[in-house]
Amino acid sequence: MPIPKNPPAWANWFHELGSQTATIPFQELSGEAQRIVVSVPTGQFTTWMVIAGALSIEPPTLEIPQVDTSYATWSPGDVKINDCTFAPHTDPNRIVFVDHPGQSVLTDSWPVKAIPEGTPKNRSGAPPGPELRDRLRGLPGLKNSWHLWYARRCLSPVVIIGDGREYLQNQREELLEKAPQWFTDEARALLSEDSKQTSNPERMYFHPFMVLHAAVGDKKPWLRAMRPRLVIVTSWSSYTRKHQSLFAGAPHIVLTNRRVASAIDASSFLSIKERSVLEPDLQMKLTPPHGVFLKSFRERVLLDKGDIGGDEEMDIEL
Amino acid sequence: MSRDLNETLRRFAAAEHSKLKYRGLQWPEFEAFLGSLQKLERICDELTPPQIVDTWLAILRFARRILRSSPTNPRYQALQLAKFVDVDTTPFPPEIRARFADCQLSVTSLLLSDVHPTWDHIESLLSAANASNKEIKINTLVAKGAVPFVEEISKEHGWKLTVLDLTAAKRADVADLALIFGSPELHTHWQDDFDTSSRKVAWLFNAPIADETHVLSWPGSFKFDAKRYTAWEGAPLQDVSLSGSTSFVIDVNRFTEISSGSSTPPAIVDASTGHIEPVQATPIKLTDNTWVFLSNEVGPKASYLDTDDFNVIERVAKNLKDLTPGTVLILRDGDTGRSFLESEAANWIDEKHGVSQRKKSVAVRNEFRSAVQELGRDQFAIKRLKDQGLDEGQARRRLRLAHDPLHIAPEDKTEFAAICKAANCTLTEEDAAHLVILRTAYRQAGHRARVRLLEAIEADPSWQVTIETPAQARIAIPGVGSTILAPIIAVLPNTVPVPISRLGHIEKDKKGIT
Repeated sequence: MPIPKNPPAWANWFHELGSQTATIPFQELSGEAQRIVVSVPTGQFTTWMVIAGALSIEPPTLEIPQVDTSYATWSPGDVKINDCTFAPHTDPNRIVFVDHPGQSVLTDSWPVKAIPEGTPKNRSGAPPGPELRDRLRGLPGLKNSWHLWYARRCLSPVVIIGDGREYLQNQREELLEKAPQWFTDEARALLSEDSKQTSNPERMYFHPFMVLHAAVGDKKPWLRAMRPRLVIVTSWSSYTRKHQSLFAGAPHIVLTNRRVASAIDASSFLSIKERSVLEPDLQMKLTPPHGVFLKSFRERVLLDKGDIGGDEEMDIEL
Repeated sequence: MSRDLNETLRRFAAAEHSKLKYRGLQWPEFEAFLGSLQKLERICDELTPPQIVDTWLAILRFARRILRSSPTNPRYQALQLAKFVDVDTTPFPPEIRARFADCQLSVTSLLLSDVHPTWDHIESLLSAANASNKEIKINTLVAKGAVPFVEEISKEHGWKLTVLDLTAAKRADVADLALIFGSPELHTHWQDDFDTSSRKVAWLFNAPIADETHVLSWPGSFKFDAKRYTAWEGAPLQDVSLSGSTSFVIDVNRFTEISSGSSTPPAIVDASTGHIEPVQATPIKLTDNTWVFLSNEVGPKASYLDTDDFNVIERVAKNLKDLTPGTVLILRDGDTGRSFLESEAANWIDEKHGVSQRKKSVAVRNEFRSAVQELGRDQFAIKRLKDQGLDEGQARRRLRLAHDPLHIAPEDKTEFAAICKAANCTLTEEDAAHLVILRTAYRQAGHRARVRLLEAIEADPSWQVTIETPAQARIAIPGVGSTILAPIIAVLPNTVPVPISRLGHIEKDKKGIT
């Protein structure tokens, strides 16, 4: 079957799913976060269509930086995203980088994201490579502001949770190689990121997307408290294995491949769990093509109950 | 197998436009065979059959399983039915002899026409494709044990079928046609009940392995109902057509095919550790009239096989209550593997910390173990341990663990020192550091052994056929020894006392089959 020039209906639908879901607001403690379960004949490549859709949406408005709070942000002095703190400036509308006292930025337009307490100290990202920089600069209207546009997307990343991270990355590369026309220039640029650090949880907020495994948050309360704009879980098994508080307030899309055993558990769960009503316009926009099925439910954001998976006393095992 | 964008496009297209055709076929000779075999099984359940009858029952059950879920002809040599009709029944008890002879008659009739009723259907599909000059790719789903037989038959007939069992089908590329032989449910694990089986095969229809799927059923199949195969509530299959009978006289309960054996676990004794307080262990009934006893508290962990997406992986049950019938336990084969662990651990310490460290670590372990074993012979042992701050449960556990060959010492240094003091042993809290090295070395060795086990499992999938029987499969692990894969028949709710030294060993029930 030849690769069609235009994306097939299912690919368009997953793109739409990503863009619609990325607009759902993050839920704070005790709020009810949206979980959308999508039953698919194969999960391959769908993840990247969803991400492309999500990245096509302008990220939510970020916060106003405060003195003495740690933020992930674009550091002009380092030409990359770092964790930074700020000091007051004589101009009340500006704020100064502590590590670069000569550099100040306007507080109401500089993208920052507060990092949770306990986040490893001195986190530092890698500068976007020359190829990525050129791609970003080449996007309409971004010649001089590409870094802020890019930073806003990194600070509200889309996170994939699932097994087989290399396998997922291979799919991304294959899609970009074989079907580049399925994506916008913006999505192609953001998905082209190949820093090899997108699976390193300590780089969260430094890349527009992250690919993490289900147990990644079990012993990292600081990671659990981070706030991606969308979480895509590649199997029901990964969803049930991940720490309940990991990115709990973010909307989740859970892909269940019907050929995988855990899809049966998802089906059983959804048959008893009360189906939430998606907003009517969202429901209409998300009517899937035949062969793809969608259900949704809400999950309350609960207080983080701490780490899981403690080290038990172990003896010799064969 | 390609896992590429092209295959994804095909999978979505197949799911979107899937067609399901069902054909019910008649096969009176096989139906008669099923009936006579069932009667033979019943009489053998009521009486105690001679060993040779038991052996032939196993062969007939295997033939039944193959014939009801694959296009294998009755005279296919591996089924041994031609030999069965010649068995001399004279020495058998009269009641068994009569049923056995009836069964021989039905098999004789079955063998008269050495074709499978689905062969016509296969030939007609290929002829139609041939007439339109179209080469079609056909995925066929057969019982796991029948895969090599059908591959051979397909080759002989020039059919060019892609022959798959259910596991292989999950990885299969989408073809033009898929043929599912027998009830779809017969392709799942024998332990699954009918509803669970239906859920486990529903993907064959809603995430199909071909643009068009044909289910071919004949006597011995369950009633066919396409409504059982929805992806989930409210998502029925769309394009379904039926022809022929959807229900047959004889349904087979696969669970009853297994000889149940005794449901009372055998008493386990070990003269060498008779003076040690036994462990309250969970009896787990296995196939072949064997048992294994495991404890959440001590002894080997309950490792079992699982599949993670498409791969076989090893998991450890956090609680024995999590184990269910059908789970395949990974059990040690006698003491094989111990020497691998010992030498690997020793090499690791030699390399990382030197020979003298290894000797010191082993000496500390041995001294601690001997001291606690000796303490266990003291009638005031519990009191001595309690005097050092252990509670009674801890004290009893520590005395038992000193006889567990898999155990080294408590990880908690304070507890280690307290036990040493109670046992009048000269070791101190500082000596625990030597045990940390030893423990790390054994963990490394255990990890390497597990990696090799999984490699051996991947390398030779023939164990899957054995497990499905269900029976125990022995896996040879190069350089390590061997291990046993044993399907669970039942997990008993009540614990029984078992010597700590026997935990995790396969125990034969010497009472024999009831």
